[in-house]
Order: sequence, then structure tokens, then C-alpha cells
Amino acid sequence: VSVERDPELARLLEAALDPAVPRRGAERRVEQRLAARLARPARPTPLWTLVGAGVLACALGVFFGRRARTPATSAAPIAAASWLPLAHARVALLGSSALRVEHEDERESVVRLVAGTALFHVQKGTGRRFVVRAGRTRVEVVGTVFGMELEGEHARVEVVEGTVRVSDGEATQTLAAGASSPPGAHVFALTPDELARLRAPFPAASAPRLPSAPTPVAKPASTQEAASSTPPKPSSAAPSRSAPVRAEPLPATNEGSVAASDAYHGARALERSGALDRAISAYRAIASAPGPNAEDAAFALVRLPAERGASGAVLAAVAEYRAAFRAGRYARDVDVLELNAHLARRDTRAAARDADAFLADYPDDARAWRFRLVRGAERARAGECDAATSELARVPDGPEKTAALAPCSGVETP
Amino acid sequence: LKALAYIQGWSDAKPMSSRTGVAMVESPPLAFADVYARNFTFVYRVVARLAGGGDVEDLVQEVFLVVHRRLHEFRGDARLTTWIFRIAYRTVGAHVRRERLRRRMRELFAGTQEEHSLADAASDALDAARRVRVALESLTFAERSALVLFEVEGMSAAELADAFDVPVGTIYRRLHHARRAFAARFRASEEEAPA
Repeated sequence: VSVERDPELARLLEAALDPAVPRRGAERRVEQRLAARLARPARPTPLWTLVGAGVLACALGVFFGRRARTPATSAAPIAAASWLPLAHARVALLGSSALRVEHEDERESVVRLVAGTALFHVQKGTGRRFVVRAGRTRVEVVGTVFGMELEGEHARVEVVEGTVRVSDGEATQTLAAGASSPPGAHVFALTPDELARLRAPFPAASAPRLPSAPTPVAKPASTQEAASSTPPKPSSAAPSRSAPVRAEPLPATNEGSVAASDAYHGARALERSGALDRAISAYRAIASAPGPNAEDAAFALVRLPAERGASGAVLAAVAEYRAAFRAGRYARDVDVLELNAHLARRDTRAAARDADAFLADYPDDARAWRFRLVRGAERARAGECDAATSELARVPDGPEKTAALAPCSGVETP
Repeated sequence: LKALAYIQGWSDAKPMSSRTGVAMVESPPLAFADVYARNFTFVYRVVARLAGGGDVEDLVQEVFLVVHRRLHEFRGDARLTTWIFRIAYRTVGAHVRRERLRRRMRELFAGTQEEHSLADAASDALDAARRVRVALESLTFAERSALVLFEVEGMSAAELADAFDVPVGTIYRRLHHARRAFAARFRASEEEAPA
């Protein structure tokens, strides 16, 4: 038994169904709602489930009693975090937050949160103090995971792991894991992946390593964590020690595919923010090294110039993509963008070659009509009206089709 | 899902290239953020096609919540897109069934027909699109999904069988029933339309 497709039915259905293309900003909107949902506490569960979970929790507590709980909620939408690997600490900066390193030596690090929210994981067992100042608030820690959000002259503090001492000019209090100042404050607006990355243990090789001179601590390449195969952040001048470091997605850690994925998301964040030149640089860095997102980045290098109408850059990127990914999963998309680039350059001969190659490989592709349009137009121009008419018969009606057939308009065709 | 893979953003689909004859190798498991970024367009398209309207973004969010919860269970037995497709199918299916039940309950207690009644559709003879939607509504979710994905998205019966995790014969049966029911319903609305 077999069922043949019914083109009439397909047209009818397609015309009736809503377009299946995401609306503008849909990805970002869903991402934010998703983040809020994931950060929300779980729904109340039935009593028997609670009893079972309680027993299980007690058992697990024996083993993991010393582990701190994860942050419960987050009011803020999750912003793309930027990572600053400092000496013996890992910092995630949210949104357009800024952090300045005021002092760093063998005994302590003192940083100032200039704006926004920063989440810290300070390495334990180093014997060094880590001090964060934010407005009039001062937080001193030894080894812990906590977050701070500057609000006017004071800062909100939430502790996830360990203990911190918070002084606010007038009073000093000690906050343990799970506590916040003011009570109920939530500053951890991280995705679960980012939270896991923040809380990940420091590498064993991360022995005390301190900058000997005024080395810019926020520069990823200057730390152990930045010693990865991921390319460094492109074309950014090293910030001075006292200059605030603006939050930027940094494609540099030594955490394998997670880091590569972060670099890719950093590039995507740059693209979404409109910093296209920097996004292209970041994509180029990702595409030039083997990794899970290398092909995505290589395709982005085709897509972005295409969106900007830079046909020369598109063709160069197409050649690079094909050289690296002969059987790539974006092969057809690349074919389409190459065709558009050739058409933009009015290179009809190259466009016709594109059409022949694509239609030979993918005659039933949903976008094959574009190539048929090109080939039909080329044949009409060459005076092969029968062939042109036959080719264009499978192209949806429209002004482009009419224009393609124009050279044959005075010729009778069967 | 090979037939759907050409669409930009459906990054995990890896068809055999007819140019090189080389099949893509599956990528290693990815973090959720990566899975989201690489499959958003795919999930959106699947959900939009299966749901046939409504708030697609809400459903996409539901799908990714499940993906997030169960990502650790993904063992690579199926392709990631197939695995996600099944989640989307179940999520949208549950939503569609819930909505139908709600509508029936409202009709039962309010004693009125809801907006997708045949009479409403027939009252507007020119609105073929609406009649199509009403006819689709008369199908079961499984039949409707098979019909739309086969006819509109160009998936083959074998691909549908793989995606739905059912025998190919089941897909043929669904398509056969779906076409017959759809045609009957669509024709009925045409006949009842005012001249």
C-alpha cells in the first residue's frame, strides 16, 4: 500500500494554515519566559509525594548535607552572562554590569561592582580574602558562591554556598547559604547551565597564580581558565586594571564543549544586540577551530553578510563553508544564499549554474522554485520559450514569474 | 525528519548529501542552552504545524520545558530532532485534546456551538481557509498531524513512522482515513455554503 501526495490538497492546506515561521523576536521571548519558568519554584505536590520526597531528601542529606541549596527564584529575566575568570574566582556579569578590580595581591583581591549584577564563585582553601564593594556595601568572603546586585548606594546580596560577611556602613551581618540581604532578595538570574558553570569546581591545576605586574585581570587569556583552545576575544583592547570591565560575552574558558557553546551563544548575543561586526569576528573565531558549533558559525558567516546585502562577502563565506563542510547540514541554505548573492551581482550565468546544481540534487526541495525561476528566466532570455514555460510551470504565480516570461510574451507557446 | 531538515535553523537534521554521498555524523550531546538555540526554529515549525493555530510560543515553551527536564535521559538512540519531535508531538497532542475537551464541555453546558462550527464555516463560502481548518478539526490529532506533515511538509510515510514511532502501515492507514474524513467534511461545508 502506498499513498501518493496530492498537490491540490497540499496547496489547500498550506494556504489555510498559519505560517510556521517564528515571528520577530519569538526566540528571545520564549527564552525569557522559559527562564522565568525554570527559575520558579516547583508546584505544590500531593502529600504522598511530599512524604516520599522527604524520606529521599533525608537519605540524600546524609551524603550531600554540606552542599548548599541552589537559588530558589529569580524575578529578573535571564540575561546572557559574561564570564570573568579572576585569580581564584569566577565571576558572571549579567547584562551590562561592570566590575572593577581595585586591588589584588597574594593575600586578597578587592573588586568593586560599579553597576548591575555580578555572581561570584570564590575558590576555597586558598587562604586569601576576597572582598567585593558595591556602593556602601562591603562583602568579605573566603570561599563561597554568592551574588550581588548594586541598587543605588547599597547592594542586594544572595548567598548560595558558604558564608559571607556583609557590612553596610552601619551594621555587619553574616549570611549563610540560602540567606539574602535584604531578606528575600534574589539576584541569581542564571540559566541552569550557567549556574552549573559558575558552581563548577575550580580546576585542580588552578594553583595560586597571581598577576605579577599590573596585568589586566579581566582579560581572559591571563588566567588559567582562559587556557583553552577557544580563540581569544577578537580585537578588544585589554582593559586597564582600574577601568571598569563592561559585561561582554567572552568566548574563553577551559570547560570543553560548554565553553565552545558559550562562545557561540556569546556570538549570538552580539548578533541579537546588533553588534554585527563583533558578532562576525566572534563567529569567525568559532568557525576557525573544530568544535560543536563550528559549522553553525561558518553558516552564520554566510548568513550575516547576506542579511546586509554584502554579496562579495557571502560568496567568500560560501567557499569557506563548503571547503570545511562538504556535506554540511546547511548545504541547501548556503546554496540559496549563494544564488541570491549571484543574482544581486547580476551574475546570471553563475546563478544559472547554481540552479542546475541545486535542481539536480534537490528537485523536490521547497525552495526549488527559486532556482527554477532563475533557470526559466535564463531560458526565456535565450529564446527557449518552450523550455522556459515548462520550467516556470512549477513556479508560483507572481510578478517575478511574469517578468521571467517577458522575453517570450510575444512568442506563441503550446 | 530528513525532508524537514533543509529549513534554516533545523540544525540537527543531517540528511545524506546527494552531492557527496556522505552522511553527517551526529554531534555530541549539548547543553540545554545549545539545544534550545539550535532547535528553536525546528520546534516552532513543528508546533505551528501540529497545533494549527493558537499561541504557538506558549506551546514551544512547554516543549522546551519538557526537553529541559528530560535532556539527561537522551541517550542518542534516536536523532536529537526525532527525540524533540516526539516531545513536541506529545505536548501539542495533549494541548489539542485538552482544548477539544474544554470546547465540548462549554458546548455541553452553555448549549451553544463554538466558533469552529460547521454552520459558521458554511456561512462564509469564500473563506476556504476557514473551511479547511474546520475540516482539519474533525480529524483526530494523529490523523491531522500525519496529513499535514505528509502533504504540507513533504515528509515520507517512512519518516513519519520513524517520528511517530509507529509502523509504516499505521501511517498509511492514518493518511487514508484522514484524507477521506477531511474530504467529506470539506465537501459538506461546501454544499452547505449559501449560493
